[in-house]
Amino acid sequence: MAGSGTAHLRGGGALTVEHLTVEFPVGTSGDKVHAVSDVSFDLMKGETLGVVGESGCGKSTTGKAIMRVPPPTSGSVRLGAIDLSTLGADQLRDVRGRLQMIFQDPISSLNPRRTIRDIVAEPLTVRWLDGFPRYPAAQAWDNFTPAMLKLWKNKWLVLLTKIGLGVLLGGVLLYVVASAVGEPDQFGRRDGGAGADLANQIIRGGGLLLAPAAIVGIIGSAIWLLLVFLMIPFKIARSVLVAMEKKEFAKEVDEKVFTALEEVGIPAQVSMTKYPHEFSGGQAQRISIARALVLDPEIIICDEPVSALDVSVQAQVLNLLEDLKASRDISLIFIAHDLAVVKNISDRVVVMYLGKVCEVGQPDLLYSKPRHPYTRALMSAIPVPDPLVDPRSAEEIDGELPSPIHPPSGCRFRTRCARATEICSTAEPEIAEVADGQFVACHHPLDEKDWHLSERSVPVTVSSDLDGLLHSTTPEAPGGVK
Amino acid sequence: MSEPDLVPDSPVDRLKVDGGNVSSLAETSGEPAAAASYQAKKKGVFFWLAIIWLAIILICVLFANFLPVPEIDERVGDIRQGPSSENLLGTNNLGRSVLSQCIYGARRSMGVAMIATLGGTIMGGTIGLLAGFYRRTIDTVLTSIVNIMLAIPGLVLALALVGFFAPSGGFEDQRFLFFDVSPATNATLWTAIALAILATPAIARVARAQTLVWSDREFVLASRTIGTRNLRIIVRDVLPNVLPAMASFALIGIAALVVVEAALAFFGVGDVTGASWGIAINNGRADLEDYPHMVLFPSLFMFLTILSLNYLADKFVDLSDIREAGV
Amino acid sequence: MAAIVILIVGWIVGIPLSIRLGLAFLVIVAGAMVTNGSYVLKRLATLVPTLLLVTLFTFFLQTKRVTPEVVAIRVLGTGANADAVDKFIVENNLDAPFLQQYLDWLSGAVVGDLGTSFVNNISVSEQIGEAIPISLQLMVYAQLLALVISVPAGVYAAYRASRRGDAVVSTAALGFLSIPNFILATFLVYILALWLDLLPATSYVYLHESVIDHFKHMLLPSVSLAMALSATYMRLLRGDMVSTLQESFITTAKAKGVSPAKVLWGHALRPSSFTLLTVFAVNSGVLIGGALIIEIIFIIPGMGNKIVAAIVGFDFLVLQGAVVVLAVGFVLLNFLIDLLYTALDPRIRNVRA
Repeated sequence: MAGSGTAHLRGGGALTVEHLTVEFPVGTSGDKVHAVSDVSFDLMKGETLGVVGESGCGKSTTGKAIMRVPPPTSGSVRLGAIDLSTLGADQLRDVRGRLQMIFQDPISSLNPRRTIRDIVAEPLTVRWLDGFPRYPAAQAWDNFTPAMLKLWKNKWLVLLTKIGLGVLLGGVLLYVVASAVGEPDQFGRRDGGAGADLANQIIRGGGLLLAPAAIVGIIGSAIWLLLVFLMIPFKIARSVLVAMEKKEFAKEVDEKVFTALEEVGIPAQVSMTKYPHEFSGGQAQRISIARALVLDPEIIICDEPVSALDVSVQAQVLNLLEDLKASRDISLIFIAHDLAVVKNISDRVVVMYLGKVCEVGQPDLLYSKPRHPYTRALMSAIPVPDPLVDPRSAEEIDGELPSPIHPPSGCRFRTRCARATEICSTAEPEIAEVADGQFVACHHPLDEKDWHLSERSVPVTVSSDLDGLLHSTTPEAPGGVK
Repeated sequence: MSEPDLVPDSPVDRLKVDGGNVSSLAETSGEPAAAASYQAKKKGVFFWLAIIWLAIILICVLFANFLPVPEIDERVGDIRQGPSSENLLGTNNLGRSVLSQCIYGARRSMGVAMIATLGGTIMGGTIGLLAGFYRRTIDTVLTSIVNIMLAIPGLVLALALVGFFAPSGGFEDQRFLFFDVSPATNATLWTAIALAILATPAIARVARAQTLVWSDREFVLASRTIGTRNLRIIVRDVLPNVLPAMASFALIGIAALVVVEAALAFFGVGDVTGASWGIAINNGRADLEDYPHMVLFPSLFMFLTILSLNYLADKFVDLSDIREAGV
Repeated sequence: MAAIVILIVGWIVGIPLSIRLGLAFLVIVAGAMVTNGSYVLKRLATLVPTLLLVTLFTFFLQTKRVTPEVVAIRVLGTGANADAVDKFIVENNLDAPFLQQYLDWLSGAVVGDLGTSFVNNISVSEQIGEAIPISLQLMVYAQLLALVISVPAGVYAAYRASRRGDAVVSTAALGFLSIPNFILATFLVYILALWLDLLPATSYVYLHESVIDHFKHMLLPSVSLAMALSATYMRLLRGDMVSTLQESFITTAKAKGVSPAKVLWGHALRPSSFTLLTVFAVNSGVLIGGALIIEIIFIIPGMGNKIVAAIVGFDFLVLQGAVVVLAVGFVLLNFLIDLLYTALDPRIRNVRA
C-alpha cells in the first residue's frame, strides 16, 4: 500500500494537498524520520474529510504541516487557488485566519496563565496588532534577519569556520607540545624552537580562516544590536498608539468573544474572566473551538479533537462540530484513530499507513467493501456490540509498525501484509480508482470474495452506541461554571 | 491499619496529580477547582512569619538611615560591650552598635544579593528562554556558554570576577560607567555585577528546562497556527508559565548569593571596609571566645533571612504546582 | 573499582597524588570506553575545548585585572625604581601579547609547571601540590559524612512522608540548609572547642603524623561542611523516593508480602538515587567553595588559605594556578560522574547521544 499518486484528487477543492512530504532530521547522523511521504488529498467545500490510521502513521503531522507548524519539507498546500508555500511571512499571517486547527489535548491547548477571554480573543488581537504599521527598525529587522541567517548558514562559511577552528586547535596543541618538551629558561619561559614557530604560523593561518566568519558575526551582531536600540523608541511610541485605541478594540473583541463562546455552548457571561483549569476537558475543547471560530475560518483541521474526552462528552463535541459545519458552512479535516467516530462524521475518508495514503473513499464503502488489506484489518478491529460475534475472529495485523526512519521499500505495508508478493517490495503501488469514488494503492487489492471474511464488521451496527449519543443533543452541563 | 501506608498523601503526590490536569476536580465539584486546591495547600503560620521577617529586612535595606538606630560609624559606647538596654545587641570592637551593623549590613548584603539576582534572572531568563524556544543552533551556542560558566566552581568564579572587576587598593575615586565613585562603592557595585554573572548560568538552566517543556505544549502550537509572532509567543505564552519556577529559583538564588557575598569578606575580596553581615561576622571571629555576641547577632540575621527565603521558595513550589527543573 | 585500588595502592607505595589521580582517571575512562565507546569519545572531544576555554577565561581574568606595572610595584614594593619595574616586567614575560602569555603558560601547565611565585620564588605546582591533598581530604570526609547522614534520614522521611517523623526530619533539613557553613563552623568552634574544650579549634595534623589527632582536627571542619550538604541530599532523596514509592512495582512488592524494610532498601532506594548521584557531582562546585571558607576558619593549610595568601600578597601566578587547578578538577570530576551515570543508567546513552 503506502501509495503515491493523485488519481483521487477531484480538483477545485477548498483545500488541495499535493505530494506533501514531511521529514525530521534525527540527531546528527543524517538519518531522517519520514513522517509523511508524498501524501495527496483534497477537501471540497462543506465536506468533512476523515483521516485515519494507527498512532505514528503521520496523520497528525499531516495536519500540522498543512498549518505550516512546521512547514512541510516539500509538496504544496493550496487554499482555494493560493499556494501557501509561496507566501511570505506577512501574507501567510493574513491567510491563516481562513484555516484553523483544534488539537487533541484540550487542557494543553489553552495557556493556563491567561483568561478565557484573552485566549479566545488572541487571534483577533494578533490581527489587530498586525494592523498597526511596522516601524522602520522592525521592518529592517524583518528583512535583515533572514538574510543574515542565510549568510551564517552558508555551506562554505560553515566549512571554512570548521576547518579554521580545527587548524587553530591543532596549532595550539602543536605549540603547547613543542614548548612543553623544551627546557624552561631562568624565568620559566619555554622555548619551543622550530615547532613553536611553525605552530605560530599555523595558529595565524587558522585565525585567517576564521576571519570571514568573525567579520560576518561581528558585523551582524552589531547591526542587530543597533536595530534593537533603534527599536526601543519606536516600540514605546507604538505602545502608546496601541494603548490609545485599545479600549475601543476591547469592546469590539468582547462582543465577538461573547458570541463565539455562546455559539459553542459555553456560558460566556461567567466564563470570560476565568482560567482554563476551571473548566472540564469537554468545555476546554469547546473553548478551543471558539478560538478557532472567531476568525470565521473556511476550514478547521481537527487533530484528534475528542480522543482525550469521555465518550459521553465526545458525542457532544462531535455534535457541536456538525452543527457549526452546517450553520457556518465550514469544511472539516477530521484526524482520528477512532474509526467509529470518523465513520459517523466524515463524507470521505483517507486511510494512512506509515506516512502514505492506502485508501480513499466514502466511509460506508470502506467499512463494507474495503479494498486495501490494511483498511480491512483496521475495520475488523472495531468492536461490535453483538454478543453473537466472537471478538477473537477480529483480524489482527502481525508485527510492529516499522521504523519511519528506514521505511520498507516498495509498499510500506508489505512487512505486515499477508498478501505481499515479490512486486510489493520492488514497486510502490500507485493510487487507482477501483470502484466509483473508491481509490486504493495496492498491488493486490481485495475484491468481493474477500469481503465475506470480514462480514463480522457489520457496517451499520459499528457504532450504534455512538449513534444514540449523537442524537441526544443536550449540551454538556456546565459543571465547573456557575 | 497494622502496617503503615507506603503511599502517602504528600505534596509531591499532589504535584503529580495536578501536573496532569486539574479538570477532574472541576468536573466533579461544583466549586471552581482552583479554590479547592488552594485551600488544600494551607499557607500556615510559618509562611507569614517568613514574609514578615523578609519585610523587616526589606525595610532595613531601603530605609536604614531613617530607622531610630545609631549611625553606622557612630561610637556609641565602650568597645565589646554585651547586650544592654542602651545598646540592644551590644557594641563591637570599635564601640559601634552591633544592631546598626546588622541593619546597615542588611542593606549591603541583601541589597547586593537582590540586585545581583535580579540581574542574573533577567540575563539567565533571556538566555534560557531563547535557547529553549528556538533550540537548534541558538540552543547549542548558548548552552555551551552556560556550561563553560558552570564549569568553574561558584565561589572560585566569584573570587576571580570580583578580583578582576574591583582590584582592591587605592583611595582615589574610581570610574563606574559614567560616574566617579569611591573605591568602596566601586567594589560593591562590581561585586553585585560579578554575583549577577554567577547567578546567570544557573537561572538560564532552569529557564531553558522549563521553556523546553512549555513550548512543546499545544497552546504554543495553537498560537503559531494563528500567526502570532515568536516574540509575542515567548512573552505571552511561555514566559508567564516559566516565571513561577524562575521566581522560586530566584529566592534560592538570593539566599545563595547572600552567603557568597559574606564569603567574599572572609577572603578579603571586594570592599571590606563597609558594613555587611559577612564583614561583621568575620571581624567578630577574633573575639569569639569572650564576646560571642559580635558574631551571634549578625549570624542570626543572616540565618533567619536565608531560612525565610528557602522556606518561601519551598512553599512557592508547593503553591504553584511546579517542581524544580534542573539543579 | 580498579581506580580506587590504584588510588590506595599508589598511596601506600608513595606515588605522587597527581600521578595517582591521573592513572585512576585513565582507568575509569578506559573502562567506560569498553562499555560505551562512542559516547565517551564524544564527551572527550568536548572536554578538550572546554578545558582550553576555562583556562583561557581564568587566565584572562587574572592577567588582565591590573597592568604589569601595578603587579611589579605590588611585588617589589612602592619604593621600586622604574628600571627595576621594567626589569621585573620583562623577566616575567608580562609585556608579551596576552595570547602569547597564555600559550606559554599553557605549555608549562600541561607538563605540570605552573610557573614560579613572584613573591617567594617557590614553584606554584609545588605549593598547590601541598595544599590540594588537604583540601581533597576535607571534601571527601564531608561528602562521606553527608551521605551517611542523608541516606537514612531521606529514606526515613520518605517512609513517614507527611507524618510527624517526616516533618521533624524535613524541618531540620531546611534549618541546616539555611545555615551558611562558616556560621555553623564558627558556632561549633565556640561551643565544642572554646566552651566545652572537647576538640581542637584550629590547625591541621597530617594523617601520617597521628591518625587520631588528624581525625580530631578534621571532625569539626567536616561536620560544618557536611550538614548543609546532607540536608540537600536528604531533601532530594526524599522527594524522589516518595514518587518511587507510588509506582506500581512497589505496590506489587507490597502485595507479594515483602517486608516494608526490604521494600524501602531493596526495591525503592536504587531507582530513587539517580538525582542524588547527579547532584552529588554538581555539588562538588559548592563543596569546593565551602571547603575554601572552612579552611580559612580552621586555618587548614589547603587551597583556601593559599588563595587568600595569594590575593593578599598579589601573587597572581599562584592565584591563577589555584583557580585553574580547581576549575579543571571540577570539569574532570563532572566528566567522570557523567561516565559513571551512563554506566548505571543505560537510558541516558540514547537520550544524550
